[in-house]
Amino acid sequence: MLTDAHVHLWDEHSGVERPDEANATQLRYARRYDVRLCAFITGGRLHPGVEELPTVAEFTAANRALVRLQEQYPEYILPFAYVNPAYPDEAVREVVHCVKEYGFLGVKLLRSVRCSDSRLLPLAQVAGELGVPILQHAGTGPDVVRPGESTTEDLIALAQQCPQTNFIFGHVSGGGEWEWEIKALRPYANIYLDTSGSVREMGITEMMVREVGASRIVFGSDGSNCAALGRLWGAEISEEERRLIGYQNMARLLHLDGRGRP
Amino acid sequence: MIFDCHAYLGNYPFRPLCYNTGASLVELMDREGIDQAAVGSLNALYYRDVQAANEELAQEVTGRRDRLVPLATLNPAYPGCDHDFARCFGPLDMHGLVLCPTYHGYALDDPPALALMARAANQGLPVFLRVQVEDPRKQHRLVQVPNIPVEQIASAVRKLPQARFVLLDMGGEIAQLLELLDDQRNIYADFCRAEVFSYWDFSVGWLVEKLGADHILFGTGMPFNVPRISQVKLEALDLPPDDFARIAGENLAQLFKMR
Repeated sequence: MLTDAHVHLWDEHSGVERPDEANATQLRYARRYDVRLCAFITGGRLHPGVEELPTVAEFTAANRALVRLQEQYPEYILPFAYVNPAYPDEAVREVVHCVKEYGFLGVKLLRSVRCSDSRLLPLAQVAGELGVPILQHAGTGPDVVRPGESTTEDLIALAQQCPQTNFIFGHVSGGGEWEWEIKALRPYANIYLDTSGSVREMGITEMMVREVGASRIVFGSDGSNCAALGRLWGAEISEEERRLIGYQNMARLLHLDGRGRP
Repeated sequence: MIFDCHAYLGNYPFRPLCYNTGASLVELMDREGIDQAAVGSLNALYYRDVQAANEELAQEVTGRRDRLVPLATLNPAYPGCDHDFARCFGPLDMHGLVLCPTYHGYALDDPPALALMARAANQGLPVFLRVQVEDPRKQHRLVQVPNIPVEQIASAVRKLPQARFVLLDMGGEIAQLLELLDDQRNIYADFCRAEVFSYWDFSVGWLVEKLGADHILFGTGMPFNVPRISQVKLEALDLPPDDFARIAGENLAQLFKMR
């Protein structure tokens, strides 16, 4: 069994033409490889020229759509709440509601607000109090230039202010400078690194294990499912390290049982 | 039989590589269950005189030609290319031509490049195009290399119907290429950039549907890239046995047999 820390699912507002078919691809992957999907719907791609600035109504609707999907596929979906911290009070309320009312297990933040922005601090503190991790889209490199996009250093700044909150650095294999990201994140025990992304280069997983240790790495795909599986299964690491990355670390973070259930 | 159309030997300037010698690449292939690989030189991307890289490659595959099939990287914009061609496909006994126009500074449809590809085609040699080597998102700031423009590939394919083109590491832009071509029968594509469980239109399944299972090749980009990824994709496709065998290796073997 695997736990995938980084899975996009979709509704009619979230950027794919056929959301049902898109979701079906991820569920086929989950069934085939026995994967529990830490999933979120990042709604809000409705505003021309702005990629990810959902209104309160939009992120709330996206989370409710995820509740419905989770009810359909409870054995596979571990729901994460998606919010826009530009609305700090509403974002906190929505996360608390999703966790307490619907049993959501984490928070996903994308590119609405750089995570070093002070508006994000209350949300990060609440996540720590609730005991749910925050998966933050972040990276370092020439491609990390979009409005609201967080750098590695943005996440480090936030994590230092919220030592009781666990953060997951999204997609080390996502096209940023992975060597930089891994070395920069090494000192911060409350930042986990997710392996996801489409970059297929040899050595990424091995360097993560060598630099930060297997206990802070979590398996993720971010849509590059076979790339993610190949990087995990092909990595020159011990089987114990592979189990930690593939399941055990995320199970510990999300308080899952041996069958991948909360 | 697994026959990888997309492997390298040599060095990369911006990070150390493992398994990048002939002996160590064969070790990796043994571990990953890959029987044979068509190998080009990574050094040839960066050397001014690419023939020096071809000579090194020929040395590395010596004694391992049952596993490693050498490809000659040539630069039609550099002096002596005709002589290098004759040496690579004569005494060095290489089996395909590799072109890297965006690394070497010419357009794929420039007359010297077309003449070189025509010469290869006339000898039954497949032409491998390094459409992309490194993901542009993470290239070093000193070496920012674009992919081969789709329009140049289309132009070359149209002008050389007798050639057989292998597109290495090409992503979703292949859809644009196909739109520009009336006839795609001389195109073969490595599937390494496509995913199987894709929520976008571009996927390995899409490639198989558009080009046919007899025109898709198993490719990894090893040891630059993780070879297990392509193994996972091949297995996940759930192909009929005949199509599996074609993509896994028969198509590439057939390309080399036409020489």
